[in-house]
Amino acid sequence: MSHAIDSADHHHGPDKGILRWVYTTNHKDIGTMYLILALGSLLIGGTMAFVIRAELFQPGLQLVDPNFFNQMTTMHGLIMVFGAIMPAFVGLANWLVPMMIGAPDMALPRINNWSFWLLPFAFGMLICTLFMDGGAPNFGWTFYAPLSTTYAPPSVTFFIFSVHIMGISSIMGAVNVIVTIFNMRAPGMTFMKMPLFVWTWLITAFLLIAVMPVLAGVVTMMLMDIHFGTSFFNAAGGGDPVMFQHVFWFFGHPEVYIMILPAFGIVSHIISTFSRKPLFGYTSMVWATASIAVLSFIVWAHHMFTVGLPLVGELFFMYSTMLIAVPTGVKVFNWVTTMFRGSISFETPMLFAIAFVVLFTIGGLSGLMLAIAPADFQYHDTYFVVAHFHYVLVPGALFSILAAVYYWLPKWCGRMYNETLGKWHFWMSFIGVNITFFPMHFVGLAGMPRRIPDYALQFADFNAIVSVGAFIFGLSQLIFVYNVWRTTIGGKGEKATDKVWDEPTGLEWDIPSPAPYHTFQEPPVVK
Amino acid sequence: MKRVGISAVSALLLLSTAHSAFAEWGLNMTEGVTKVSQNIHGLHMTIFYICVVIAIVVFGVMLYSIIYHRKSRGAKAANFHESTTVEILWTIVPLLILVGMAIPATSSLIDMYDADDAEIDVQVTGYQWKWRYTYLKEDVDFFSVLATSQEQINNTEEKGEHYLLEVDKPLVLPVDTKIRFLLTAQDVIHSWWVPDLAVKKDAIPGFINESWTIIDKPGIYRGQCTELCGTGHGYMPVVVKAVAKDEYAAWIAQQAKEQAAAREVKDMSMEELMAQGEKVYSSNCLACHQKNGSGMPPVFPALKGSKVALGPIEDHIKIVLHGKKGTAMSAFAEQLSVSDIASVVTYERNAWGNDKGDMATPKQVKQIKESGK
Amino acid sequence: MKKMSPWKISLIPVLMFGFGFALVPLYDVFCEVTGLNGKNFEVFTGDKTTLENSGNHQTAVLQFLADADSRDNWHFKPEKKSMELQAGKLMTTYYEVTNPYDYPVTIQAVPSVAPGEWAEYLVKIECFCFTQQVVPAHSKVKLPLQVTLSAKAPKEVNHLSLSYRLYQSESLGGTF
Repeated sequence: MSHAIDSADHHHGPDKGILRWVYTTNHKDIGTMYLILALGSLLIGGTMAFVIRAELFQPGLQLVDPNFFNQMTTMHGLIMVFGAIMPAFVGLANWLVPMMIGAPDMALPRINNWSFWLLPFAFGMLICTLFMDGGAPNFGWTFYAPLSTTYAPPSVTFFIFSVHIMGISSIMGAVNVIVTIFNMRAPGMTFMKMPLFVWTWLITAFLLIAVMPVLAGVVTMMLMDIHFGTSFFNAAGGGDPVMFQHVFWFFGHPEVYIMILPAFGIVSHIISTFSRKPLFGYTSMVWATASIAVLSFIVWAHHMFTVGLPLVGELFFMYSTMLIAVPTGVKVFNWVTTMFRGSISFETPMLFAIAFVVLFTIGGLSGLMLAIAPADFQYHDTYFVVAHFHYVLVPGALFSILAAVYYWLPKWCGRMYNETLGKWHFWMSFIGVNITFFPMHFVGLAGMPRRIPDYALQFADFNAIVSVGAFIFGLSQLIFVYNVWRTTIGGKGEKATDKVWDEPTGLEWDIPSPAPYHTFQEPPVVK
Repeated sequence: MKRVGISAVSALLLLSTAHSAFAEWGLNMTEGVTKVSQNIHGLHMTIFYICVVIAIVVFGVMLYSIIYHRKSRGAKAANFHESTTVEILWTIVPLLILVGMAIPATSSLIDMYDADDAEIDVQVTGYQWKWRYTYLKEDVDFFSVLATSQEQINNTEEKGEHYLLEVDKPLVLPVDTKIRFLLTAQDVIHSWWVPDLAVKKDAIPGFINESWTIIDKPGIYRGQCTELCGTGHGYMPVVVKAVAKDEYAAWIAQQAKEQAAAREVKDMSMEELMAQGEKVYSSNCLACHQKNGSGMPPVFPALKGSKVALGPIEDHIKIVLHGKKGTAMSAFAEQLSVSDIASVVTYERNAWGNDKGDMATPKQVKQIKESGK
Repeated sequence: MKKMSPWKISLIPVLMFGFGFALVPLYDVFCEVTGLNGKNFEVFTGDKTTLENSGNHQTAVLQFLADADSRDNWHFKPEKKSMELQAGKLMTTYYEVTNPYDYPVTIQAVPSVAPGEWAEYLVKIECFCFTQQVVPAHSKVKLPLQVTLSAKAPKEVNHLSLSYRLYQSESLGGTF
């Protein structure tokens, strides 16, 4: 058993005052800031979802005009993807990776600070576009050309700069994660002894440095088409709008795996702890994650099955997309087998983790249906796709983040969150999420397209149900906000022990709760 | 274990009986009226059932553990944590299932790509925010615009049965005939979809895409644009009217006559121009310029009190005929007849208190149209 | 343990940014090879007489389509709606365009062939799309096109559609 020795040095605590947060290079502080930014983005993006669902509650235009509706759908997507999910996972990486590998901090602490502080500027710029002449970006979060170039509002330039800044932040953060994991593991911690969350983040970081630059490339090409007279995506000058889609999705597909691999890591930890059983098939889980990452580079055109790809191309992407279901399935089987013949208890983190396995699997199965290219001609750009990706992102990625916060918060702040409130949050979210997104499968199959502010009468009943579900789900997140505030700033809640849970494994449980400002200043020895 | 097994079997039975009923409840994909659409429906149901079985197995095991392996029940945790055999098995078996699925999917796709030997070629062009259909061999060409009134959209009138899925001129096609579609777009990417035909293809500016269909049953089939194309994306439906071959032949012949009539110039009184103009305005202009002419500036300028509506009548006619580049204002020269254009221009100059007092004649419009710019 | 340098790792994003831009010419190469975007029709630059002796009697119907910005009022249309092509036989036709303005305009026609997989079997010997064309004020011009079917066309190639979209020179970007 290794013990972390926290230095008794009193002047190693955090600085006083608000400037502490501006100048901090401490991974715990930076992790906290990322998580707060993510929560704020979740609430802003969620408000936009409220506007969307309020308009779609009934057929007809009641609240907003179609142009503003398109701005809401675009900004909702951008803020949730780039402002909520990604920063939340980076925040968790910051808090947990150093502690899990027995390192005192990230390898590049000042870059870490920069990576965070770039984001409020990037998002400030993006949100300001709502108040510009012509309005915010209104061309969908996937911003296809030429709608996003020749026909875009003036705010598109700010959108492009905002994306550039977010991309730089992500790339620097990913470099930091890779260098930290490679160079700063405690002696004895070989790669195959690393906790699964560290593995999934290592692989995610490689995906990030590979594809965020391609996103930067594609928005730069847009900038050049809009302002410098080039014709990357303009047929008039010999360019090709379809090429935009290829380059965008070359980034876009790995991006969705970037948004789920860390979730796989989190859920592996939590299921194992609350089943009181080691994770089943650790080696297999590592290989499956790596295979998913590699395969994610060769499936991109399954987002483009109706664009007019040559037959050979269409078949290739159908096969590769079906193939990626195999390692994903392996992971699900491994989680279920971890639970099987365990000794399971159902605290809030475990509830969210179990819901993740069930609901992410449903999302994954609808993804398998979408992979069947001929069938996709009837699913593409309908609410069936909206159902699929919301299942994998909301009860998928988001639930894993909520689970992680419940699971590790006592370690971070030294107090237990309120378990009753936690369970209320869980059940209302679980019910809300299914009422919101399950009917979308039906309206999509029945023929309702995406990104429309108004719809034909046969879609009305399900849309009303979806909107009610959205309000239930959205408002229940306030229970979580209150619980977190109450436990951290409010100072309420039972004191947490060092182990917090029933014999969890991992170096982070060997240090006190709350975790001291500086941990593992001497590396522990890992056997 | 028995309980889980019984519930699994009953779930499967329930699903297998209900699948075609689902479509009526608006729960499932349509089977459609072509061999392709039925083929796709079959693929869809097959992969769906495979997914259901996988879900039942996986969730069944989980549910069992949640009930019987809980700590509060006194369950003691086992210690096993790996098995290479099991990992290999549950990699190979799903792989084989997928290969099994890929084979019929491949043959369906190959069939969907074969647009050979079509009898009728229709060019479908997407515009912001309407479709244009051109029967290439027969020289018939017309626009197809949403027919639902703005009042229905703004909730001041009750919505009709085909709200947002009705057009002024549907695409008429004969049954049992191979039809080839050539798709392109004027401005941004659109996508043309008719669920009952299982035809969906992106319409890309500067490029043509190909698709085809053979419709087995007469009827009216409704679809929508399925690629975000701006503010009117939800307002450009597709309506296909499939009819018997002889009815189609008669219709096509009639179109040639009607297109000639549209070019005809006749005398119209101020009252006739205003009445027709109001109708043309509400079908083609109202969505952007609004019922009271106030528009939605800056993107859709006001016509009430505007320089164009109160200025020289020739310039007003030219804007309606040729549109305005760099803006969302379309050219209506090929979409509306000369008498329609004359009426709508007259209406715009005299409605909403504009009261210019002058009128445009069909003859005048034809003259300007033929002179070029 | 071997050290991983942040500089070494940072090379990856830099290279990938370059790769993003390299995708543009790579895409063109890919389209050439697969016919993805219907632009890889063959441009013939050799001796026309050699075409006649291919010995292949394959035929295909070539359909002509014309598109322009409806606001330009150019009355852009093909002389014929379709034409039968035969391997090795040179066929000539033209497209018509009217300039209604008081000033000459420079136009560029952008071609597209469907199905994309067969575009490589359409051989163009002369096409008005190869260069920009100047159309004098208030005039109607005939834009010539000389095509044939490639001798390499397999039996199943029996129909092709050739579409031109006309753009005015100021809407052209740089050459890409």
